[in-house]
Amino acid sequence: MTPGARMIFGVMAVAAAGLIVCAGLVYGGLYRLGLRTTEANIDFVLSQLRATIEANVDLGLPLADIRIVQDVIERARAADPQVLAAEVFAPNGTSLFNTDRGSIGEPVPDAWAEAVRYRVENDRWRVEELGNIVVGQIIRNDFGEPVGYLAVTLSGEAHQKQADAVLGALLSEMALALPAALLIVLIAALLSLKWADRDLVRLARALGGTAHAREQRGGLPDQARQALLAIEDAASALDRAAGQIATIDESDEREAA
Amino acid sequence: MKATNVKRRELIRLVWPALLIAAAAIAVTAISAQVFLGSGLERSMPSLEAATRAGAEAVGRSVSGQIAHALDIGIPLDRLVGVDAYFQRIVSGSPQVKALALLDANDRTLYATAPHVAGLRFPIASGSARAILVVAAESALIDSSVRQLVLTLAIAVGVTGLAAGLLAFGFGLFSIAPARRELTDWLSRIAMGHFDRTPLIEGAGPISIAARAVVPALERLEQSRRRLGESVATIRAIDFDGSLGRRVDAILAGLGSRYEIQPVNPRVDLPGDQPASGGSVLWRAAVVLGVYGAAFPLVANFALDREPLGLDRAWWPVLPLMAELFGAGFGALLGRGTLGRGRTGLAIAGALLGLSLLSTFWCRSYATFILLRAGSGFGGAFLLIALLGRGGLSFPRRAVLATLAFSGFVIGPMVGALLTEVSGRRAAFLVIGAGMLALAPLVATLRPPAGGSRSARASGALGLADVVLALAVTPVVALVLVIIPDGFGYDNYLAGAGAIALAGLSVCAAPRSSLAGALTLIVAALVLRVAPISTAALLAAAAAAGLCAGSAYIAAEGRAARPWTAMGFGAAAGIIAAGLIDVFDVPLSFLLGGTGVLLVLIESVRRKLVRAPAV
Repeated sequence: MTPGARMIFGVMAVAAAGLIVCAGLVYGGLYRLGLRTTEANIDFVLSQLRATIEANVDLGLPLADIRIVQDVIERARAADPQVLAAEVFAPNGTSLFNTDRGSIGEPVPDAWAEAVRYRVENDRWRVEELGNIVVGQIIRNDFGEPVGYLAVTLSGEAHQKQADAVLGALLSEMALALPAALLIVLIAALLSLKWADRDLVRLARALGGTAHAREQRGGLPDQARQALLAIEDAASALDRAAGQIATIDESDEREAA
Repeated sequence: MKATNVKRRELIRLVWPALLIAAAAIAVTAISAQVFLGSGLERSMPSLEAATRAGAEAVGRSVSGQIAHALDIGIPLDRLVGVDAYFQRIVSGSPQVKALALLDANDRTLYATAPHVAGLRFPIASGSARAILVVAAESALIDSSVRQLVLTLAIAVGVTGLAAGLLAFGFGLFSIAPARRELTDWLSRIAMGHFDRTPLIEGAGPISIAARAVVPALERLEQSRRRLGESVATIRAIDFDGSLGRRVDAILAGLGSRYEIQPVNPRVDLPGDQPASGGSVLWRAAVVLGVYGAAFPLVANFALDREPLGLDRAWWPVLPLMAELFGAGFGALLGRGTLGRGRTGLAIAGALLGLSLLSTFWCRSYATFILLRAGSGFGGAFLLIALLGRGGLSFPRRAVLATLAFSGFVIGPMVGALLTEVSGRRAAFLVIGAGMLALAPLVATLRPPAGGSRSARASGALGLADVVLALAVTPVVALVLVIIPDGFGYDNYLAGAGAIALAGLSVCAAPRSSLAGALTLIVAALVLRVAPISTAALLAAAAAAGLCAGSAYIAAEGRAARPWTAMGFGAAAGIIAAGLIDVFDVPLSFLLGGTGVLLVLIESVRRKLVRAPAV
């Protein structure tokens, strides 16, 4: 492969990578936007739930004894079809109230425990599991200490459908855009190389042709002409010397005869 | 004048193709990005707007319920207390709500967060009291996210164009221009009668074709030389008394030493152990540094998120970086030796670098991350030193510096940040590592250096120039690897990478005078001291620090005994200084200003010593 061809492939690879990154940015950006929009909605629900629960905690009752919490979370789940489940669990990871009543008393998943331990930001944490989104908040008492955690599980189906639609659209756009882009970059690279190497191409053609053809094509550049003249002169000088030496040989033979 | 014209022609021949290619890359990427964005928004907007509306409806139902409850307990509409503050809290906490308004039964506005609120209407009724809550739904989140996405796409387009243009320019500068010069020199020598050298005519490029076009004429010369040789040999064979030989010598003396002729046989394959050209070494080094640099904006951030127990937070980003530096030191030592000369060493180092980066995807613990950074440092430094230490880089020092700085501190970090924007930090490490693993065979298949040829080994103890270089590197490393990633770069990888890129560009544009660089650093320190610390001020500080480091490196040419060792010490000092600044709450301006003042003092003393007459 010529060095020029390698450069062209490199430039095409850069352009292809750029297109792929742009498509990835659009997909990633819209995916996250969809998530944030969904979560923004549920954040409002969460903050309402949390305010209600904390108002009862502030009365001095232990969280596990506030029975109204069960009603509150079930109403929240019924009010929003996107909410799959709502849960309140203790700091030790035990579920205290759950719209899935069979899970009350069970430990929460490890991913939730890890998120609560390591990924809380502004009293808020989130986990994605099994295609669903779990968003939670910390329930605090009057002293600001966490007394429990609230978690709402949202259906990721709608969001995933949107993401799949975007991905499908991007892939079909990419199938057209990528070859077209590569072709344009290839043409630009070839044109620029041709322009940059035009003097070399002229030189190579002129050097490779007959003297008459060279004149037809506009002659040789000075440097090449001087080089060829120098070679001709040297060859002629060597031929003359060889001829003179051959004459010595012949005259010696005649004398010997 | 002629030399200037030639240089200008050479520059034009390099710049215009690069500009055309960059423009083409920018155009196709920009158009494609626009198409992708339009298409993506078309698919997303219906569901996004529906979600926004649903959120606004939920807010409306909740707020109207609260107001209805107040009416139920007998509070008149116009006597409700704290409604304004309540509405403001709701609006500021709900990105899907632009404004709220409470109207009475006659549509008269009682409370509103903004004038002319229009949107979803929620009737409120309690006994005889009637009211309407109006919720103006807004996709503030959508608008700001789309704006951010457009900006990110613009950066991606710019980086693509820059990378394509620099690739074309670098190819011309480091590969084609030297080959052209070799061809020109060869033709000049032939014109002066020296036929003693044959350029590298293997290959299919226009230079090789032009060179091969001369070969038939040289073959004719070779035939003449052979004929002459045969004739001379024939005479000498029958010259028993030396008389013929004297006549031959007289004829050959006429030729004199005008012609040096070398047999030319372009059909013979060139031997396989030809050393690699400087251009092929440099692009490999640039690729390695680019891949390595792609992780720069992510390292401190990743370390901070491990949250190791039992360690002061100030040192969280410091330990992995120090481990990386130690690994780099060992890698550099081995890379200079025998292991760095062969392909096996290069392949293993490339694989180690790739695997260390890729494995970060699965890394959960702080200790593991430290080990992985040590591995990355070892692999990266081994490769770089093994490549750059091969010699043959007969290019201007500044051009080599600019190439490596662009690759490792501009293109690499920006690509790393863009990958993080696409798929998150872990996936970015995965892609960067996989990329390095894919490139490792290309990097490793480099011909070993010609027997014994290595660049001059650094020797001697560290001197004043080395100290200056180490000092100059300290602030830029502290800023771009620790302070900025821990600051505004923590959640904004593009901004963090932008700071690194700015420092890298400043390195390329640095003046030769280290004094100028030091003074720039002092000015930046004063600005940080006087003005409030902001993103713009920190970016300017990064640029000033890059300028200082770049000028010190250029000024150290020929004076520093061990520049790479000095920069390593400087980097270590910078990383530790960043930790100390955090621990003792020292203003950043002290580091910049103190370093600048020290550099000015050292440079002043050095100039005095140079000017002082010898005793």
